[in-house]
Amino acid sequence: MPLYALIDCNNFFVSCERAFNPKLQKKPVAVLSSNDGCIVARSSEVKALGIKMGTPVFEISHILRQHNVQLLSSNYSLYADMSSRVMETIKKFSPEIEIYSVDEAFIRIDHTSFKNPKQLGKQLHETLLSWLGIPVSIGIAPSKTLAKMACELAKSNPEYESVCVLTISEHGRDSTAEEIIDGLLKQFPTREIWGVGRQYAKRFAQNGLYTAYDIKTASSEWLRKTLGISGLRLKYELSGISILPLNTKPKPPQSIMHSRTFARPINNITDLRQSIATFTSRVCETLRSKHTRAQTIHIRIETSRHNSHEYHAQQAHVTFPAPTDDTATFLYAARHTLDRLWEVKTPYKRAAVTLTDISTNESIQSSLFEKIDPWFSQKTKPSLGTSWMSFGKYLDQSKLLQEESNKVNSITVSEPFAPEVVSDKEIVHKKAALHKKIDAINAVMGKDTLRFASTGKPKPVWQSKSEQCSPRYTTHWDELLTVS
Amino acid sequence: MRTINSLSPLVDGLVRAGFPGVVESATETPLDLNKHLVSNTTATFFVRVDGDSMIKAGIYDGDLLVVDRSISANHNDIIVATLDGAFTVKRLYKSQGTIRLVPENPLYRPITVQDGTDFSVWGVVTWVLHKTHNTKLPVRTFRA
Repeated sequence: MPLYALIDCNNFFVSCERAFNPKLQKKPVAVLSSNDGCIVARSSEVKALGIKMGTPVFEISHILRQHNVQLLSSNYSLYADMSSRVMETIKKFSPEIEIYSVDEAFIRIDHTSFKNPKQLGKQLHETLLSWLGIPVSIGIAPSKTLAKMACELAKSNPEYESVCVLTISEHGRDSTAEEIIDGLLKQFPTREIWGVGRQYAKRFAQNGLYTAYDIKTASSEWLRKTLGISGLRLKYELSGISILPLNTKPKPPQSIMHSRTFARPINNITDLRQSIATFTSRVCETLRSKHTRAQTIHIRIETSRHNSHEYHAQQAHVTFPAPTDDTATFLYAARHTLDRLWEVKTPYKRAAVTLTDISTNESIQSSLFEKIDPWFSQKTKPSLGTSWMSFGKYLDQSKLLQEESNKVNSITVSEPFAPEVVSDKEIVHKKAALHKKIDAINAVMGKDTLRFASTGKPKPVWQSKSEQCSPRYTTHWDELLTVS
Repeated sequence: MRTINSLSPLVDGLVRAGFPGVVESATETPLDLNKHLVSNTTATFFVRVDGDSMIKAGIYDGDLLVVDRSISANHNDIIVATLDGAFTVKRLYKSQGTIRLVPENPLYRPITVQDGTDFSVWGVVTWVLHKTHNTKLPVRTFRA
């Protein structure tokens, strides 16, 4: 019978900061988004103040000051390195791992030499804490859904000492163990179960199912009828019968974004073009490093949020007929999109480039092997008159990109949007080889050693406004931790 | 985690007549300083020394320390510790229940860790890297 452990890092970004700065221990600490605008990670002390994830700093500045909350800019270089160290450490316990997110992983522990799951959990917890200074919560159970639940219990109840095991003993069904688990299931609201969204929870409630125990004991027939196979799966998973296997292949990311708040507003097109080109190069580098391709590029420019009645955001996206990882292709699209969005005499304070519709190279090779050039596919020949660029332009004052994206008013541009179309497969392969070389050179000689001319000279004006950023302790020789 | 690229073997494909087979089969894995200095990559961190409190132990201002956080600290080990919210590198003395952090410089005094002091061992220093020549690193040649 499979046995899963879910390892979840507590307040991961904050823990990474604390690992290199003991002054932050036991103090309220919050990490801000890349433009220092919103709160993206909170220490338990900050959570206790009732501060929610994603809250803009200016809205709660008085609370932050009153409680002397330490605010830090996000240091993604550090978090990424610490994340890979966490995962490597976990792999030493079990090689069967599903990296679920930057700070969470499932492992299968039934094939390991550990006989006592609780002991394994404790050792894992101690190892991550002493090797990396990262505190974790661990849930162990025979299914991933139960493991996730056990992890929640471990996190919220100190008596578990960070490790909660929900197992029915290996030799037959131990009635007391099952009773204990059922008791916990009875206290676990449906909406907190992994994979149960608000809609599902509502439907459960309408049918008198409020806890995990209710679902476990609900009739299979009813679950299948109302929720389909996923409802039935949930029942099995909660009963300790593993249905969801480990997903060991990494999923492609949903989106890759690079956004920055400029140190001072930009109101000339040259600087704006260069900044967008720089951001585009960055997202493309990330895209290729993950062996993925993207089909859509979003460009967004906005003015200062502090001046709320004049706040002005514009965004547009271009979707190619096929996914690509070619920087030049994206640069071309980005440049043309920006030129349409940009308005004279507007002081832009922030810009973002986002890639979406991301797929792995593997999946593309199988399905699109013959038509990998994004500019030229059988479906859409970009001949004159064909339009496949949707274009949105709008004003709004809302805070989160996600909310806003629903409101984009898409206008179809009837003008053809295609550069020198390259239909030659050989050239596509040459481009791929070129990028491979460029990325390899930059990896050895340093970022931007080779770059597209349209990115201009690196200028401090669009450097991130990360005023409270900690050093990149583990990835830069000149930013190491100092000891005296 | 960034690791230093392995060095290329010092043997090129051009082997003169004589005993080619011998030379080729004698090509071994080149020495990798990274592997030599770091035994547990996930738990090893590099830190920079600031100050002269450890000069008698050969640790100078600006030196680079290799710190392994997976090793448990024993008496006489050189450790990086956190003490009242600050990092310090000192020699660890453990005797009869008392812990002392001992500098290797007569100008500094040993610190006895009192009960209630915010103290913990961060990691054990396994290597000291001291630069002896004032040149910049040579530009690495790139091979595509």
